[in-house]
Amino acid sequence: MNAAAPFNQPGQALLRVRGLKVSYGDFEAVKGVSFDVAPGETLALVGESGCGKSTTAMAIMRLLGGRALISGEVGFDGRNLAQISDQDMRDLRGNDISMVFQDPMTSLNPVLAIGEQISEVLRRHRGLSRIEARAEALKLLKRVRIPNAEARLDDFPHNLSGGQRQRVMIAIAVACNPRLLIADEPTTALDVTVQAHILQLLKELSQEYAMGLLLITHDLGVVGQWADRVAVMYDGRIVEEGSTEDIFTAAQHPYTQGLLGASLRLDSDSHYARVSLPEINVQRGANGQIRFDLDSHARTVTARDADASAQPILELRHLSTAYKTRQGTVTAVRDVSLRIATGETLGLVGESGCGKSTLSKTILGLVKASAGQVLLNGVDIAGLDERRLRSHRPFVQMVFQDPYGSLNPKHSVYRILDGVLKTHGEKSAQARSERIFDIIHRVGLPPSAVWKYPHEFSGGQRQRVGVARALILRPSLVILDEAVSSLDVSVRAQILNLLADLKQEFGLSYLFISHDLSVVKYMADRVLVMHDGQIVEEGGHDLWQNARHDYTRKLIGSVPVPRYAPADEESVPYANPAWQTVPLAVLLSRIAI
Amino acid sequence: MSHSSPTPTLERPRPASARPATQPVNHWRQQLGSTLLGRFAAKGRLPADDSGHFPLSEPRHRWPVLRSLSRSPAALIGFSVLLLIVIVALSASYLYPGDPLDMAGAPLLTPGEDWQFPLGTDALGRDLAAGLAHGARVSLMVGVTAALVSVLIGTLVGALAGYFGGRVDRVLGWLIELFQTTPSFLLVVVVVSITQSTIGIIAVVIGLTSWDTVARLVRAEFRALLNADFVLAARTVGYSTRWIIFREVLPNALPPIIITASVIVASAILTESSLSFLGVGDPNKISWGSMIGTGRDMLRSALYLTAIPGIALVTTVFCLNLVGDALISALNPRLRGRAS
Amino acid sequence: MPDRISPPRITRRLGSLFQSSLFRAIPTAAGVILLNFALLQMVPGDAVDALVAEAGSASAETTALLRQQYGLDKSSWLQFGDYLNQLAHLSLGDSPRYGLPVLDVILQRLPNTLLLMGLALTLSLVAGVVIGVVMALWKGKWPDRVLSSLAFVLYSTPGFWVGLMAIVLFAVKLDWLPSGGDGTVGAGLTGIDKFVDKLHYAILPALTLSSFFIAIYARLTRASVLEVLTHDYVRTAQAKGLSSWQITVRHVLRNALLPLTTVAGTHLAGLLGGAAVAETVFGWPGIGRLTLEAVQAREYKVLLGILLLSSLLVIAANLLIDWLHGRLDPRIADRSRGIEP
Repeated sequence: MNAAAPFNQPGQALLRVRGLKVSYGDFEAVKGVSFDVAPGETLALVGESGCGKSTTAMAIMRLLGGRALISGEVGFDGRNLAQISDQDMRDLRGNDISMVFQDPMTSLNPVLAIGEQISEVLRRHRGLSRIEARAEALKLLKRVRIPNAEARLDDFPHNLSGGQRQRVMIAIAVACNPRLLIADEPTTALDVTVQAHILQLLKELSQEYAMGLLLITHDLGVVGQWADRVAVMYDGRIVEEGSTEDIFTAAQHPYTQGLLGASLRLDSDSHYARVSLPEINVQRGANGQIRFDLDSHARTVTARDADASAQPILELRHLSTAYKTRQGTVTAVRDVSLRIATGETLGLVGESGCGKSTLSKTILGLVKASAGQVLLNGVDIAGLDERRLRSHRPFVQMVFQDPYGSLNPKHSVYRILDGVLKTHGEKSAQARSERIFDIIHRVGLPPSAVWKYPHEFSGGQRQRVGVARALILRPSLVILDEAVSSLDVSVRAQILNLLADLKQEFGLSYLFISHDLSVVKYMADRVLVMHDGQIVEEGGHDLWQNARHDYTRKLIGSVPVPRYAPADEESVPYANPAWQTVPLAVLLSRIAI
Repeated sequence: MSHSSPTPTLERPRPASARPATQPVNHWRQQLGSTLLGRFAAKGRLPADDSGHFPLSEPRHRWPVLRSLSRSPAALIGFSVLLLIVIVALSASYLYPGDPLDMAGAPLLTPGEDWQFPLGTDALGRDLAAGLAHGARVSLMVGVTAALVSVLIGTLVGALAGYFGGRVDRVLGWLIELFQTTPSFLLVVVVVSITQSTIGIIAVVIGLTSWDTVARLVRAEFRALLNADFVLAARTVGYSTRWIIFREVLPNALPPIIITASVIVASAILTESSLSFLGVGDPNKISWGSMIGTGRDMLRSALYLTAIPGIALVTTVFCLNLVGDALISALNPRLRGRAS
Repeated sequence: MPDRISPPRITRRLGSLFQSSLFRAIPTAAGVILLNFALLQMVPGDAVDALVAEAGSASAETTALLRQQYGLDKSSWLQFGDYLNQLAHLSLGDSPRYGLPVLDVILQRLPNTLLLMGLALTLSLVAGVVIGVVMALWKGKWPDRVLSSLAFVLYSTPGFWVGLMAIVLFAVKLDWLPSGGDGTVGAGLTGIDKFVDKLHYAILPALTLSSFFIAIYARLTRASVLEVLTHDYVRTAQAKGLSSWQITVRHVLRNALLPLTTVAGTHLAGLLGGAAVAETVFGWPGIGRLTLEAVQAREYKVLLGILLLSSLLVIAANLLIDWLHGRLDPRIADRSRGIEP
């Protein structure tokens, strides 16, 4: 069934896509895409949200549903997948071509046991009996390195962690030895340390089974580390294609260059104090032509008075926060102490569940601290009740992660900002209006945006509104809790530039919290690493080269870094020994996350 | 281009290194704005008019909900018919003065037989049309009152339970569970027979047996909303609790409450009609249910006695449900443009 | 030889789940009893007044003496204690009209109502789910539109009117089914024959009772199936190359029908109320009709006895449904139970 097919002569592509178009009614999601995937090769399809990369992948598998119109050629095994019958396509799916999806939390049926879900595909395509399929499923679970595989067979998806669920998805996908594996953002929803293991697993399997791997992603770090060839998509078309080395060292298209420049890398030395991130300027001409312009400039941040004896804007002394859950008391923040000097950006790095969100909420008084002090400009606000806390609120504000959830969907931008000003004593309606239009202008939105409702904006625009709301009271300290994590690379570059510019304009201090080390490296003056509720390491720029704590090194080592550096960028060769040992550690490790 | 720097009214300690905001705005921001926001990108100047005054309210049309509703033909039909019924109910005393339970004409006239009684008369010579009009009044009154009672009690209980959590939640939850377990129809029958059987009491008691649905809904909404990011953001800004509940939480919790209210009106009307049909309703008032109940004995011979009030009943509830369904799409801003 | 596979841990989970359901049911039952007692206290007049009324009249002292004798002059708390005591002895009082203990009167009629409710529930679930699935799978096309409109009308129609029109159609015009009663009178049937005959008479009342709920379950199933179709695991199932049938049954329905079990629990109380109406329309001798008789005869003990018993019945049925739900949805067992919204 899946023995080396007679069509698979050396040199012939496994998958040949030519002129693939996908449209929904009037809207063209994919406008004519062509690429090849050779057996054993990893092709990465890169782009930002809305570019059509996922749609392309789903179109190859014909999973798009009745409303989508697919035309063009998808050559596989000498047949055009876009035109074969439904039944034939069903015979191929899961058998010769498989897919792994983005969100492992929702991609598995919650009411069926894991073993059942793997056996299902084996029984469908291989005709195995129940017992045989179960035994084979067990073997597959062991192959994807799930510990305690026998017990896991009868477990349900909610008993497993995100990383383990993704391994199960991979097990399902490779169960019938497919020749082509499509992975749609397989690690986007996972922690960085887990991500490395999953990608390693995918690579191993693709080599072991001589599978072609089509990797869909927006993360250029992943592309640079794991892909053999790259195709860059924008607005439904491929704008550039080539080997990974060519793309990373000598990209031709301005959009690719913009993406590469805006993608922060752990091995580059760019810092907000010296240079702004390149922003991609897209202009549509009258004839439908798109022009890309790159905009980037140097920046000089005036050295702030490094007066160690000056009172820090924020100081935490032995802060702890615990809360009760059904399982008992959970201490989310343990004995955390830190200081942020005036005008400084302190970066806080940690994976999900390390307590960084609880920390920011405790600082803001949204959650009660169980011990310790929060000194804002020297005043301890940790124990204050809401009324007394209110007078301190204008000094410290927060920009939230989720641009969708952090704005009341029923209020226009004007109303949101107006309410803030009204609460803090701005009595004159005229003065309020003036301040609102001013701050909207400063965050780069046009005045008409003020009357719109949150759902009318894109993610980046909503985040600008969030920034406006945080800044309208002219705080001294702004906490940015994963403020750019849900944004596309190019939009992220714009927001980071905006934040850096505003910091200088208003003389702000930032507490920049993120799980993304590269972003923190770019944005922060000093960095703290948080793990399991505690600060495990603290340092300046030397942290990235010489991390001392094991966890920090593991974290840094897990971040995917492209194997190639652009020729013209000044970059310090990346030589953290932790990074080189990761593949070996992964191979030897029996601990699957 | 330059702009004046607004003076903050509150004094804030400024870090020594801060620079005054006099940087020229980069051209790329405007370009970005115009590309991203397309047609509604302005030239980038602040919209102050000649005397330096800034606009205080939005220059565009309001009431997106009503506009969306007016586009749905089902909602329009439902609403118009309901309006008609309301008008008939309100003007019942003018159209058909006197007690509809009094004998008005010859008994058992079929519809159309005598033009004085276009819908006919029943076994006791009572005018069916008068009965329909007055019955409409009863049904609507009971429906609206019951809905009001349940929404008020339910919202209060649900909000308290959702807001406070903990012990308060457990106690209120027990109360909700209690009312949900007890069969509401039987409870209404029992309470009405213990107390008095008047329209007012019936309406209130029906309301008292339906509030548990509203309470559960409100509790769930409050719990979800109070953990939402925008409420956290509101707390960060320093809004008082009252402000947060009334300005941030309630407007988002309101749509499901409104929809449930329309469902309760419909179900209260059905309950009241069942009560009157069984003879447990208000003996002094005519109701569609009681008309069907008295007409039941002559099911085979005079079908119109049960059919006509039945059709009125079904039509009213049907239209209420149409409006309720339309409200579900209209109140969700993301569904507003589309049909379900 | 397959590896040794450990048995699933479902059995362990169910034990604790059932315990927590029980834990919640007890305060509710207590509340029901409290409510009933409060209602009893609200009843105008009491047994002594009834006796006095029958005797014609009595002096104040005699009335007071009688009250003392029957223990009706005690404080409310003590009376509550008496009431609990009475309940513990499985007694709901006596009914003068029927000459039997209230409990016996009710238990005589209860099986009939249970039969009716069982039939109605089964019918509404099966018909509702099938119709709902058809509506969902043919969404937007004419089967969906027609069925949705029909469901809408059914949903807006009171049960008693459906019953009356059903009598007109099936009993009068077509003469397929009987128009009332619970068995052929004077036929002298016994055993299985009697049961089958009874079923024959139960069809129309059960149909009437289920009409409202068929519409509800159809709409609910439709909405649930449409929602589940957007879930990611359906896409995964398609990516495995499974047939439409396999996907619909194993993946879509198994998840879409879960909300139905939660909702069905809340409808039991409504079914009892509907049974009262259906029984009256068709002369079916169950506790619904008993309720009406008790109202007319002012037999408050019987009324409240019915209320109490039916509430307890609903609690018991909900326990069963919780157990069922726990078996069907493995996520439930691992969540701690609060009040489900």
